[in-house]
Amino acid sequence: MLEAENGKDAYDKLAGAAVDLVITDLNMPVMDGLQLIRELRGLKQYRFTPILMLTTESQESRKTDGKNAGATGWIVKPFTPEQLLTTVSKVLR
Amino acid sequence: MKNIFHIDGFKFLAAPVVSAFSTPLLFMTGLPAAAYLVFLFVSSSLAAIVIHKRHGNQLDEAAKGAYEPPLPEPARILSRLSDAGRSIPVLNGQLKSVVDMTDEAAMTLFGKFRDIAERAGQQSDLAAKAATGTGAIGGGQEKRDINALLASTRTLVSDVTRRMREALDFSRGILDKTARLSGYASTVSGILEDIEFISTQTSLLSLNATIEAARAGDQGRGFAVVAEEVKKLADRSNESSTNSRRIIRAILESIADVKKSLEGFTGIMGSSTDRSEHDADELFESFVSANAMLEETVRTLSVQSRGLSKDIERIFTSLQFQDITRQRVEHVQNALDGICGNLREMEEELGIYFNAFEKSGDGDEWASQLESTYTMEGEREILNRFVPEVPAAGAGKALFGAGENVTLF
Repeated sequence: MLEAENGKDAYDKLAGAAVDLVITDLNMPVMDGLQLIRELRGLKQYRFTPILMLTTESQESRKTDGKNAGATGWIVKPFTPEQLLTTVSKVLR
Repeated sequence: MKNIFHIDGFKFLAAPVVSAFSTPLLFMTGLPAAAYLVFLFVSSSLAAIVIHKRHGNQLDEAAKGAYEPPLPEPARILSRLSDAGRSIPVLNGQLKSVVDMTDEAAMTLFGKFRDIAERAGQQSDLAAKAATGTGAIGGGQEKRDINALLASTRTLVSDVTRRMREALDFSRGILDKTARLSGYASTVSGILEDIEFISTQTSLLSLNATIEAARAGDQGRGFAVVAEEVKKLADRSNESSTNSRRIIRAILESIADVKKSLEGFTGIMGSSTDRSEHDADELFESFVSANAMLEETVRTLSVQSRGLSKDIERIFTSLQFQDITRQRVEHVQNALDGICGNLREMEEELGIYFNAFEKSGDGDEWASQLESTYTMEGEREILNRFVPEVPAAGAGKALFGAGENVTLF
């Protein structure tokens, strides 16, 4: 499992690896979640990797932005551990 | 349409343009100078009218908009003061909302930790009861210690094994007696063998006597009768002896069977008793050991429960941070209210000083900028309470209701 402090840090770590799932926040310093998703989708190994957005943002327009950027799912905080696990199980099937 | 005779910039511009194009024509026509001037004036006015008719709206708007002279400094200051003054109540509202949410969360945590502490105490009590065996047993209300119960049961089992040993000893005694019985029967059998021998010999003697009596003739007749009776007695003795020996043999066989059975029984009883005693000892040792572990576990649970209670007490103390937070935030809010009041006063005074100076028309831009930083519906709701007409960037109803916070694309 890889951890990162911001979008740029995440991209740098992920570019040199090949994970099965990415969970990212939206509002991050240096590079936000939407930009991260766009950058990752440009990498060959992440073209089809499930990417979940975990955020406080609940606006439909922002959700659409996420979908257009290439996000697989959108989880609004607060969430329960069960909701996260169920969602992860679904996207990893 | 404006008065065409009003001198404005376009007419000034139209005149030289028309002159530049018309002068060569006039020279060519040879008209005098006065006529030339009249011609110049009329043509430039006509040009201005045509230009205004064709592009009048655009020109008017351009006169109002793009070509707006910069506002004087006080107006900008007034605008900023007004924006700042209006934003402070919104920020105060956000602070209050955060404090309320934290209050609620702290109370929820407080309640949950209190429940945990109660449950921990109950579990500790239950464990202690289980370990000591206190509580109602059967129909009575007597309290018994588990160790005392184990000791009583051990005594009971010892009594049973003792009785089993006594029965074993008794059966071994019987076995000894049957062995002696067998010996007696064998002895009797030997005696009977002697009797049979005597009978046989007696029978032979009586035969010889009969023979001698026959030799003696008439004088031996009485002797022959005696000899005959003796023979009969010998035969009867032999027969009895044979029958007795048969019976003795049967008795000996029965005794042997009983002995065999008793030996088998005592063998089984002996090994069972030994095994039962050994197993019972082992079982009790296990019980005692398990009970000791249970007591140790209960002691540990009790210690941990006390430790947990202490930790929860410390958490209760820590949760009081919320009260401190609320007070400090309220102090900040009060200070912000004061600043807001000052800003409004300054705005009023500046407005009076500069005498009905209008603020810039875009009064809610600050609200739109604030809204663009928000990510949660709660934040937007608070803003809308103060600025209902703010056009939220990308506004739309919240996508998720309660429990609908996960969406897969």
